[in-house]
Amino acid sequence: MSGRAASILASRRDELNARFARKGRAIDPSAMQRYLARTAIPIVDAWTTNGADALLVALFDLGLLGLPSGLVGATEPTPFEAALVRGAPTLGAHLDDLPARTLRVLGNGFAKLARELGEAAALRWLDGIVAIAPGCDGHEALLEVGIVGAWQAGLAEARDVALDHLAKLAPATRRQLFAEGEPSREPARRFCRPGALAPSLGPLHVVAALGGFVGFGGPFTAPPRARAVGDRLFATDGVATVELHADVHGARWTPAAWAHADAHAMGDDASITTSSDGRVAVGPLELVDETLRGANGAAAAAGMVAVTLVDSHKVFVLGRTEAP
Amino acid sequence: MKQRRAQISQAPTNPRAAAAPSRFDVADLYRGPLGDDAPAPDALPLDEKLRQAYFWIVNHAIISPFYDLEYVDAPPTTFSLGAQKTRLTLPTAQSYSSYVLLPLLNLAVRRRCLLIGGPGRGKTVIATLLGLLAGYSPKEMKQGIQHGQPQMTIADLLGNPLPSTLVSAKSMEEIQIAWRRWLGMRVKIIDEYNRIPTRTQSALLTVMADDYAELYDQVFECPPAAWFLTANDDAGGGTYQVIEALRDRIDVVVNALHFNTRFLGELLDRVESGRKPEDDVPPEIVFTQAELDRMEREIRAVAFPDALLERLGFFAASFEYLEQAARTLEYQTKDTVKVAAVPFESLGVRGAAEDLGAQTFNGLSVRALTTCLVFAKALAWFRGNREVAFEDLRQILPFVLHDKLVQQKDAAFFDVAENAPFRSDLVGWIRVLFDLACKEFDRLGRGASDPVRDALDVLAQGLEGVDRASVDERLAWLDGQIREIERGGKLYGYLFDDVLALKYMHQRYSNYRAWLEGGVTSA
Repeated sequence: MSGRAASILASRRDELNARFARKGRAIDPSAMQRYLARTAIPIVDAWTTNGADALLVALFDLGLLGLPSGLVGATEPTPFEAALVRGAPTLGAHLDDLPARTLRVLGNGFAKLARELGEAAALRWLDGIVAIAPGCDGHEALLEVGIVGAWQAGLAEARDVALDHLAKLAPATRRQLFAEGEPSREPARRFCRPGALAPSLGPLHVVAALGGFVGFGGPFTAPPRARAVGDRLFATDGVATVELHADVHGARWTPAAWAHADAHAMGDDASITTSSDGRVAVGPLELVDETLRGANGAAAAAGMVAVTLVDSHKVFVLGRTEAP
Repeated sequence: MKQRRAQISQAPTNPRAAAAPSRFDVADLYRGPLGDDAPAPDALPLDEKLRQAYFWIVNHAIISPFYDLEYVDAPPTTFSLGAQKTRLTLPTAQSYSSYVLLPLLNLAVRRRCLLIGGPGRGKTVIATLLGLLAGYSPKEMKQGIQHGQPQMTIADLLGNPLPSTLVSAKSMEEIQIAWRRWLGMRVKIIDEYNRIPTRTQSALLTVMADDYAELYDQVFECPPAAWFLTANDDAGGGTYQVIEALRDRIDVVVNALHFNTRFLGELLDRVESGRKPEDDVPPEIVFTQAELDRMEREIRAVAFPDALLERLGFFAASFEYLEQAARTLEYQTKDTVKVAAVPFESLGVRGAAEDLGAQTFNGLSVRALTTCLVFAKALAWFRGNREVAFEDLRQILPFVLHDKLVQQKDAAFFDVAENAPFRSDLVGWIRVLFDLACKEFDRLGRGASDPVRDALDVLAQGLEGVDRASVDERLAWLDGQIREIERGGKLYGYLFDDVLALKYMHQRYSNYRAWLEGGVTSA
């Protein structure tokens, strides 16, 4: 072994060995060696600034913590590692300034999104953040880009926070994130494409089906009912209560035990009419959809309408996109 | 264990908080297998910084793989284990180890925490770590710890007069005192306080209770401080009996739990690395003095909902009332018996199994209730909330009331086989007491309807402009309420407080009516 990484490894040998002895008891030493050889060393060897030393230590720690969790592969490189090797040069200044912290946020963010949205979405998120990183002025901006990127990747519950962070970013960075134009904060336009110019909205339609039976990974043991508490939308079966999040980037539910008492105690929203033939009327808007056959109640909040069916554990989310 | 993380959430049994939780916590995205990350320390909210400190301690400093402060945000999985069918709950939301969290909250609210446990359980280590988190160096902490021992004198504890001034002084004012440095510290640690002789304990009491020390008429004003005391013996025994006033000043009691041998490997790591947790406190989680002050202010600003206060009041009312104590209603309290030095046992009060009041020798003092409020706020704040939730109060009470509610072990409640272990499990017992009180509170519908509370609220609006007819109407209503309680027969703790409140209102209205009629009595 030769090159920059080799000399750093040699000079810090005792320290790194002690680190491995302390934190790497559960790790197969050969797995660690393979990780260093295929991921850490190529990145450091290609590093041209003075930060290579700290970067190697940070990558070493990434191996120690990433191997047990599967973020780093024991035999083969994981998609995260591959993306990291690919993107390290672009991350340049961030890895130079705060190598450990930058690797931690990227790794944790990737792990979180892979768990919540799947590996492909996590990979898109990581590639996106790496592409925008050179334009981010400092670590905080990188974190903000990560939040917005997570929302774009489908983490629908991040919408409000992401919009807040988006507003703090430099105009050029915002343009990189939303090339077609910025998303609207207006709840009613939450299902519109960012930058959509048409001022009017199209008809109501089913945009997502959320929830599901507990045996199939959903939260409900019985068909739920939709409820609006404040400006937020929930579904409850009397045992579990979840919050519904949906917009143009995705739809998800999250546990919302804090709203259980209110949601459970509420009745149906009298301003929305549903009928068993799949008809839903919200004020002047009406939708008839075969999917909604058996509709027994609905609630509306923040530009979303949630409809439940008498014999389904799913909740159907209705919304309006921009007019064609 | 090191990577165990969960979301902060509210329990399903919480009454609805006014402020709903944020839709999305930014920190969640960047928490994961690689450890926590956060923006620059100076940008961190203090509650986040304290949470980081907590996780650093449990992950790297104190091996405490216990989650006895349980929060759930979804129906949890439960198990019944062992011959006693002990209930094990797997918390679904971020839960905490009391052994680490309570001392940390004590640092934040600057109260007095007693750590109890056998030798070698890390009591002094955690207290020292909290001193380091408050910005002291390891050397300062070593110098600052007061080690209780049977020969400890007041001078050992507080300081000595300078010999030169002692000789030359013509009056007491001229004597200069070399005060011990620990008196000026913001974190005060008294190790094995139950080994301190009684006379020195009295000097300690003055410092603890009143924040000053006195020697030769000279006074040293101590800054507000978080106190950590350690003891090996729960009964407060040790070499010397701890004086009651000193015990009473302790706000929160934390038990050091046993060492789980499944974590022996981590212990081996420590041995092999040759480093102590005190050597590795990250600077990011060290609080400045200004931050400690701000933290305490932020905690005091946390809202305590009226509905929860009512519930706490109902619970607290269960313990003071004792019908056998006197013939005058106002004196029918356990305090009357205690002050008169009548053995409680001689009254033969064992109560029914479901009787909460019969399970204690005392009621709750104002100090105890104040501590409940402060620590419930601290726990809510630590969890990122700005309003105390039901579960915050439920979780904190056992640790605050641990030394405050003196258990009557002969009460009929403990004769029930499943309740017998509560004679030694004070934390579990107090939690059950609170649960039972809440059950009764709900059964009586006190949360939905509380006429006495409503009447107090009406009175609080003032009497100005209230005419004679309205006063008569209100007095008649008060009579009717007391009559209704009379008809109910047995008087319970909460009714005792209700009757006294009704009597108070009756007096206020009577005086006001007399004034309206031209009398001289003030309303």
